[in-house]
Amino acid sequence: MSESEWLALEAAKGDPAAFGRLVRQHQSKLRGFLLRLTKGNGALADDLAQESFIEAYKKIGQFSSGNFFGWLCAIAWSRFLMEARKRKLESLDELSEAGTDFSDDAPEPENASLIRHDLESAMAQLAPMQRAALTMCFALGLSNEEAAESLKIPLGTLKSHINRGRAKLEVLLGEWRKVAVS
Amino acid sequence: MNLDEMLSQPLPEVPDNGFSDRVVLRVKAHERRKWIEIAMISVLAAAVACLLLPIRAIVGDFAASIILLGYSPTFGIGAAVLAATFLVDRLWSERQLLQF
Repeated sequence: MSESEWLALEAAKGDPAAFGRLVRQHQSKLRGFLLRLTKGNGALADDLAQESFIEAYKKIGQFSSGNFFGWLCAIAWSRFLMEARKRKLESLDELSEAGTDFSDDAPEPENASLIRHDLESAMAQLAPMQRAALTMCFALGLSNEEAAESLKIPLGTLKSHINRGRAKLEVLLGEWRKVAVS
Repeated sequence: MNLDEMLSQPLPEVPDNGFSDRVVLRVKAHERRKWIEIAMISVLAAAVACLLLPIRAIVGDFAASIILLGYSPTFGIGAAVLAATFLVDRLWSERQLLQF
């Protein structure tokens, strides 16, 4: 049993300090995930993260076992979808604070921060489901099964989102590299 | 660096900057609200029961003996200890939540 799972079960028994430790442990990853989903809108990502933790606290009794962070991601994803529907999805683009343009004079990606900038810019071009699936399975280290469960989609659908997302990223990053070199 | 390696890079660390404290404060407020609601519902239910039910007829001698018991120092101390234990338990829970 992982430490998070143990803490979640303690919190479910009514130990509020255990829940506090869970918040501290997972806040960075959850906010990072939501930051990517909201295309860099820090304020919105933090609001969603806070609401997700509060909802998790209210529902902690429903957590039985497994990957606590995956369970938390499921709550965050459904919060994100609710917010996206409220804002009619496309307005999320306008809300984003991070620039998604890759200008012609951008330097060649030689260090980690430039690579990250390229990746985030390309990620912002993907559909939210592709963004979520790729982030969960690669950066957050969830298994395909856990990610599919969190996103409430069948495993096959998740894999097709991952494949389509990867293909689009390959194209976008390839195009930008060509522009940067020329 | 290939695409899979790029994607597998962990997400950048987001500094806490009081975020966890804000969440814990909201959890604490939620807990407090829940207890207030439970107390209010209990009082309301008792008030409605007193109004609608023939309490005197139902409890009769039992109520009289309870009132007599209330004058007993032993019973009074016992009840006070129970109330104090409950209060300390609630305060301790809230304190722990803030000091995790």
